[in-house]
Amino acid sequence: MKRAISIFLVLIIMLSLISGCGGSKSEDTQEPSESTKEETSTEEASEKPADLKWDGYELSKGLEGKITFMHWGDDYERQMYADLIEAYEELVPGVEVEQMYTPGDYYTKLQTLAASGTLPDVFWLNEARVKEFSDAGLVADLTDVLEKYPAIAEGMFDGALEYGQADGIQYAIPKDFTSYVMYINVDLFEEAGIPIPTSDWTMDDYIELAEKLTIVENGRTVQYGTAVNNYRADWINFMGNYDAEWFKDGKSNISDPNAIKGLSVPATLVEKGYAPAPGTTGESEDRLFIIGQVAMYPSGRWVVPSFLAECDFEWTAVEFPKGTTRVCPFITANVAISAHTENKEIAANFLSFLMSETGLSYTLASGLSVPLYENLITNKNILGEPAEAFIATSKYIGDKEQIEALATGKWAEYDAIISAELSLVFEGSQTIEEAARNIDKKANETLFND
Amino acid sequence: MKSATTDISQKKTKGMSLKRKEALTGYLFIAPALISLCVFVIYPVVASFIISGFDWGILSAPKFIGLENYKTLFKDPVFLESLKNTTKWVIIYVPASITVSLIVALAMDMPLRGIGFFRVMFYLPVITPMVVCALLFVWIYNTEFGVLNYVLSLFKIPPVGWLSDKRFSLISIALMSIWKHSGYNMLILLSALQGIPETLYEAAAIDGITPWRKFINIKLPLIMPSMYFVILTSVIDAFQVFTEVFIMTKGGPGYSTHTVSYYLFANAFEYGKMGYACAMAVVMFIIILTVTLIQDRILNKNVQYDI
Repeated sequence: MKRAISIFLVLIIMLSLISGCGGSKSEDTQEPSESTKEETSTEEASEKPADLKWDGYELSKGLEGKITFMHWGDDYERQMYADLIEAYEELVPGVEVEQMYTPGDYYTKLQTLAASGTLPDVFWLNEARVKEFSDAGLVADLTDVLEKYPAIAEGMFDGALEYGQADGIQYAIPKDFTSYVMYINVDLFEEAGIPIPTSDWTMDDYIELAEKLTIVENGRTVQYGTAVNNYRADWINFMGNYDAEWFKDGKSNISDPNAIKGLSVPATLVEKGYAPAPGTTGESEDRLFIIGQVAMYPSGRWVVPSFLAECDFEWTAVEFPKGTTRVCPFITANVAISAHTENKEIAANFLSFLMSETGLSYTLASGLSVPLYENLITNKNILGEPAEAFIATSKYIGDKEQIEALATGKWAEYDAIISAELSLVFEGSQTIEEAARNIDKKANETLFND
Repeated sequence: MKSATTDISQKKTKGMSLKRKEALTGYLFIAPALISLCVFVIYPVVASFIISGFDWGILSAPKFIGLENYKTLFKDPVFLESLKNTTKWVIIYVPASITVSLIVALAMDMPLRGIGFFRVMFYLPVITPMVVCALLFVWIYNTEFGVLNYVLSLFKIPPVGWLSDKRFSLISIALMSIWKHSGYNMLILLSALQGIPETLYEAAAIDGITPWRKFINIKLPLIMPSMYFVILTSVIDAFQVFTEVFIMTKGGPGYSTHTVSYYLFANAFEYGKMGYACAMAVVMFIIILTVTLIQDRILNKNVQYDI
């Protein structure tokens, strides 16, 4: 009897686990918003005129063959790129593009493919990886591609192409970008009777507003003035806005007084309790803004789809507060072509389609990122809302130190050292000066010791 | 006579002896396991030893540098910190996990109504994927809206940074890991407890034995073979802790939860230093082998396999 009961219980649990797993799938298909999104996307794709030409159309005539295209992203992006590929294949009937969607562990897979000599023909490459891949001779020199398809570079923001270069050679093309802005919970500002900051606000204003908008009840913070992430874009922004030379002559230089001044801003916000200590994933900070517990939140464009879908209050975005100057890190994904592809002509043509207005109208559809072309950034059909802060930020996009640090090819390890030391500042066990000293010492002794 | 001998030898060469046939059948049966062991275990182990002598970043051409990776390794403060954390993890996790498993196994061995339900409940975390468990605890431990800090707030206790404060981070992960894994060891110990003959308990009952003496003098000695296995495998597993750290803290804050396996992964796949990572793997291999041999020497003496 006991045995029968145990077996029965196990069966019930197994069934609940199975139905639990299956539940999400059935929800996906039944939930109206999801299915609507999918239908809309398919409809949009079919509505897009297949005869819509782009600058590379003439060169696509006569192309025949198959290429592979690998990218990361969420499920929205997978669908957007599926639609883009479908449109391209309709325009260039002789070509087949195989989509290799890799949602997680992207570089582990890419490196393994590279090591086994089976790199995809076209693939995304983070700006921090361009040097590493070019040094290994894995990415094709795109100089000839830019000559053949001049529209790719025409009208692109100054300096943007540099993020796809290594040793002065163009190995990859930035496909779009995201700048860092300050997201504002308008409702919380109105409740506090505080006007929304204008673009000329400063770091001092930011700290002051964060203090005013922090609410503590019974010793517990129920509303934070702001939240910060321990993420490269955050610290590059804070340091850059004080004109810090945080990477100089091939060496880490976070001990630069201006860098310390910049990094002191988030450290002060956390220390005084106006911002929670940043977690390890950033997900927690995004959530705090979404549930209305944070009034100001610096982040990139990638939060827009979830904010649009989940925030049940009015929100907007303004420029990042000014220090002594203003710079904005360039966060992007580049598109590269394998150096060993047998179909470089097709790969280049596909790349030109991807970078065209037609291509971008597919890939920027969910508002995840910002186009790199001056004529498209003001096109509301392409960029969507919120727009003004991103348009303004595009005027000072790029950071000299970021480019110099990326050029070393050791960014990933340098990034890890900075994050680890800053986490101890946010945790309260060391000062920003100590962290800066430790970062410079570790990085210059182990990474930049040539 | 001559022709008879030739016949026998011809028969021998034509057909296989029964012994050989049996051996061949046996080899065929174990062939899948043997092949996968060679491909997925022995080959990578040997390859790690070889790669550890090279400066190789997967994408670049390997360059032989001898023992240079090992020299760098023992001067690398992050590796030494990771080694310290891994040792700390083994010291915290293994005794705590086995104690919990043993207590639960003893409880689950009691002849109670509905005991099957509780056994299933305690085993359930084992069959749940680690990623799911780790993510669940990331939210339970969340400083701002985690359920743990909410409960503390009911007692006017200020929020604790379970994963963001270096004083608590390693212990917090260990608690999750104990919850996740103790069911597995519980099952092994429980089956050992249930294998003890009832006659021994009856004889002890006639002698008027106390429950404590019953545990010390009967149960514990008789479950020692299983305990030996549990200790050995737990120590080996603990030295390789990775997934929970990767999901919950990414080695932070600072380097407080950096373990050797996590640092090895970061070097191999994020920093592109495969040779250096393999040197770490070799060092870990030697450490685990040494610890296992020492344990074997100490524990095996106290194990009684027959009643």
